[in-house]
Amino acid sequence: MALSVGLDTGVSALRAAQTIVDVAAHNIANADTEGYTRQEAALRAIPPVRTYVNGPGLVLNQIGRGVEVERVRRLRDGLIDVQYRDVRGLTDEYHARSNALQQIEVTLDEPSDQGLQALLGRFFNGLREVATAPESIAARSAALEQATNLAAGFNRAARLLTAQQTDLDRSLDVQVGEINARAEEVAALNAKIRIASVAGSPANDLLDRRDLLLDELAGLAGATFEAGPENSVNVLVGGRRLVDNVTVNALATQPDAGNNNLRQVIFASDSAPVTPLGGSLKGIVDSRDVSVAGVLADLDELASSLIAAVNTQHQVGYGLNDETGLTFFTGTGALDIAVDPSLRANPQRLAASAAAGEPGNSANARALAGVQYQPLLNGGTTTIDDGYRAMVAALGVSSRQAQSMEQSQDTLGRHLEVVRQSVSGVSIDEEMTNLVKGQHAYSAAARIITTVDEMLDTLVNRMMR
Amino acid sequence: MTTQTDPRTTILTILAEEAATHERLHTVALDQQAALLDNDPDTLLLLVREMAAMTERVERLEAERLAAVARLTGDPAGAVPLSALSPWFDETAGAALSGLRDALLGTLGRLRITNAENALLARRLMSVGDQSLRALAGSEPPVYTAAGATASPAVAVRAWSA
Repeated sequence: MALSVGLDTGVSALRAAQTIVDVAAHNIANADTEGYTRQEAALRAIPPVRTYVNGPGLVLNQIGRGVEVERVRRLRDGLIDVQYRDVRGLTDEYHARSNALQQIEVTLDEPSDQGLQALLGRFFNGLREVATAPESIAARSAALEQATNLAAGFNRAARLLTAQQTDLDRSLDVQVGEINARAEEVAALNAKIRIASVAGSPANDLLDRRDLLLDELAGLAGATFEAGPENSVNVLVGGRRLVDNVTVNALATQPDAGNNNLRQVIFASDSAPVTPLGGSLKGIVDSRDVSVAGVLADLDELASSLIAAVNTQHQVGYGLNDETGLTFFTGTGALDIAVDPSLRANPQRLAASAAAGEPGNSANARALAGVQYQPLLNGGTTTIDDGYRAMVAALGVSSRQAQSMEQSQDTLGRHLEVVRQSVSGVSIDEEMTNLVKGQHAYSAAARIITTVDEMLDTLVNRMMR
Repeated sequence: MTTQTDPRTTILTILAEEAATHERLHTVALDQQAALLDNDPDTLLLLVREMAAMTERVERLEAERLAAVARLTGDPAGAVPLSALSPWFDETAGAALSGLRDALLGTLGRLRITNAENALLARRLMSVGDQSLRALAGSEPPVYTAAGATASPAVAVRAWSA
C-alpha cells in the first residue's frame, strides 16, 4: 500500500471517528431534551484508487482510501409522526370539550340539594303547602321563598354558564396567539433549514425543534402538514395554509354578529373564517357554541316556559285581598327570572284562590302546583321536570363520552410516543450496550486480522523466497 | 497398501485450493470492512468466525503442501520456495505452477491491503468506543459506597493491535 494512500485512510478514519464521538456526545447531552431525535453518523467508504499493475496479465488493482461521514442522520419515523399528530389533535380537542362539560356539570351541581332539580321540587311543593292552607301567610311566605330560591338557582346557573362561555371566548385570543407564535417560528425554521440544506450543513437540531412545534400545532389547531420545497414544511389549518414555506398567514379573531358577537377565528389577511379540523381550538369553539350555548338555551327554554305557565295560571287566580291578574315571575329567561317584587313584599297577593271572595279556596294553588306536570317543553310533549332531567342526563353522557375519548386518545398518544421514543429517543443504556457490543466485535476483528496478517507474512515469505 | 498421488499433482491441486480460499478470504475481508463501516457488530462477529475457520483451512492446506514438497524434494521441512521447484516440474506443469503462484501472490497482496485498512478501521472504532463509553459512564448517576463516597462505574479499556 502506498504511504500517501495509507495516511489518507488514517486521516479519514480519524475524522469519521471524531464525528461519531461528537454525535454520541450530542445524543447523550440531549437525552432529556423534549423532542430531541437521536442522531447517527452514517459512514461510507471513500471510492478506492484504481491502478493497473502487471501480473499474469494487466490486473486492475483497487486501493481503498478509508471512510468518511456521509451525513449525520436523524433516526425518525415520519409515519409515526403523522399518526401521533392525528391523535394529538383529537386528544387536545376532547380535553377541551371534556373540561368544558365537567365545568358545566359543576355549575348545575346535579344531583344535589342545591341543584335546580331539587329547587324545582321544593318550589312546587311549597305551592302544594299553600293549597293545604291557603289562608296561611307562613305557607305563602315559604312558597315565595322557595320561588325566590328557584329563580336565584336559574340566575346563578345562567350567570356561571355565561361567564364560562365568555372565558372560552376570551381564551380563543390566547389560543390564536399561541398558534401564530408557533407558526412564525416554523416559518423562521423553514428559512434556516433551507439555508443549512443549501450549504450542506446538518440541520438536525432545527428539524427537531420544528417537529416539536408541528406536534404542538397539531394539538392546538388540529393542523395538518405537507412537505414543501427545500426541506420546508407547510402548515394547514382547516385545509388552508397557515404557514406557506417562510410566509405566515396569521390567524386573528373578530366579533361575529351572527353569533352574539362572540369571537370568530379568521385568517387575518382576508378575514376568511377558520374551520379547525381538531385540536384544542376546535374543542374550545365547539364547547362555547354547542355545549355551553346548548345548556344555556335549554335553561332559558325551561325558565321561559316556567315563567309563562306559572304567570298564566297565577293571573287567573285571586289573592287574599281579591287582587287578580298579577304576575308571579318577572323576566324572560334563566338569567333574569325573579319573583315579582310586589308579590314577595305582600304574600297575601299570591293567587291561591280560583274565585274572588273565597280566601279558603285553594284551587288555583293546586293548579299552580300542577304546572310541574304540564307538558310545556318540546312542542308540548315534555314536562319541566322531565325536560330538565333529560338535559342533565344528556350532559352527563356527553361529558363521560368526552372523557372516555380523551382517555382513549391519550392512551393511544402515549403508546405512539413510546414507539416514537423507541425509534428516536436516546437511551443511555442502549447506547452503552451497543458500544460494549461493538467493542467486543472490534476486538475480535482486530485479533483475527492479526492472525491473518501473520499467516500472510509466512505464506508470502515461503512463496517469494 | 495406500497409493500415493504424484506430489507434483498434489502441490498444484493444493495451490489451486489455496488460491480459491484466499479469494474467498478477500471477499470476507471486504464484507468485514462493510460491517465495520456500517457499525454492524453482529455481522462483524459472523465474519470473524468465518475468517477464523478459513485460516485453519489455509494452515491445513499449507501443511499438506509442505509435506508434498518434502516428498518431492527430499527436504524434510518442505522449505523449498515455489520459485525453486521448477527443476522437478516439466514445462507444462511448471507453467501451471508459475501461474498459480502469481495468482496466489496477487490475491495475497489484495488481501493484505484490505486487512491493513480493516485493522486501522477497527482500531479507530475501538478508540471511539472507549471515548464514548467514558462519556456515557460520566453521564450515569454516581454510585455511592457504604462509606458515602462516590464510586465511578468502571470502564473496561482493552487495546488490541492488528
